[in-house]
Amino acid sequence: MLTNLAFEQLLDRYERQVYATAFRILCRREDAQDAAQEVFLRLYRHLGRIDEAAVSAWLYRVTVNVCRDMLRKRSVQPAQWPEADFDPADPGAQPDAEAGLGERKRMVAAALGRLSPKERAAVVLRDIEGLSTRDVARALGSAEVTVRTQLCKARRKIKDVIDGLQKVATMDGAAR
Amino acid sequence: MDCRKSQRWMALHVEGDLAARKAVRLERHLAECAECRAFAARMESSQAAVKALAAEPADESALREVRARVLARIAAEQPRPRAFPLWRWAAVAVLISISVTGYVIPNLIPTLPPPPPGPTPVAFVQPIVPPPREVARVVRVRKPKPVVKKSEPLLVKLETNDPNVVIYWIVGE
Repeated sequence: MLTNLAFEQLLDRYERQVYATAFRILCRREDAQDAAQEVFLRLYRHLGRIDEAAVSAWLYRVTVNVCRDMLRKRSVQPAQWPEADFDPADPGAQPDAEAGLGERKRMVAAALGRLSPKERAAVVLRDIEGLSTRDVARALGSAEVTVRTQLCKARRKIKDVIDGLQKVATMDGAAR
Repeated sequence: MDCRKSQRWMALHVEGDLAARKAVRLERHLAECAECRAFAARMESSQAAVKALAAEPADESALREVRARVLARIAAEQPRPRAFPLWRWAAVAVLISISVTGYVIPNLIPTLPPPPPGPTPVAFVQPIVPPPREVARVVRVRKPKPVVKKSEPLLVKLETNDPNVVIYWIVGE
């Protein structure tokens, strides 16, 4: 079991995981910070009851739950991803090398912004965080078959959005 | 297998989420269908872009802010040592003074020697008289003070077998 002394080490080890997961689900920096703070406070209060080997899975599950609560209670709209309204035909929206955002990254961000919260959580945990389908199902509190259905829909939506944006970008490039 | 099912399965197959038996059927279909192969290529490309997000550098300033906020909240939630209220100090002072008065002061007062045995007090016997007509009078009987006699020291002479040795023993009070 974990003790208070281990808390700061856990904060060091898992702050990226928690913040990045929350950011990809909530799509806003401030919301992701609020969620990450809440997750770590819950971790602190449950330190004595969590097995060290299960911390990462516990954090994923709590992060998803906190993000869901925020989406429900505070009417946070995940589709307000900064890059969600990316228009490849808009010169002002072209990739900014200084900001380090590639065109494809912006397209992916736009595609993620168009997924439902459950689909986005499934994609974030499975495809970005690299969890197994079983672990994603545990984190989401769903059956594995449900997660596979969500992943199937989400991946096809992402592909369709990226395909569409690439077509527009190609047509725009040809017009110039 | 039709192309719609193939493309639905492709979304799972691209990340290894399709059951092995279905994967074999899908691969067989892809070998025959150019349209589905093109679909599979675009799916792999979009998935590669999604997975590339995992390599994004973390927003360090956001992380620092989260860390500071978490530690500040935890520090604020720690139970603070309560100040000892003034009334408790007063209560402690009273208790100490009581114990000092009860135990220390009596020990400081020199104990007087017990009084020597005096004469047995004479019992006063109320003479039987006919009851007066008035209401009974309260008669205060004073306890007689013990008479202390001054006794002179007693000289005891002890003679031994040896006529030259005589022991005088003075017994005082």
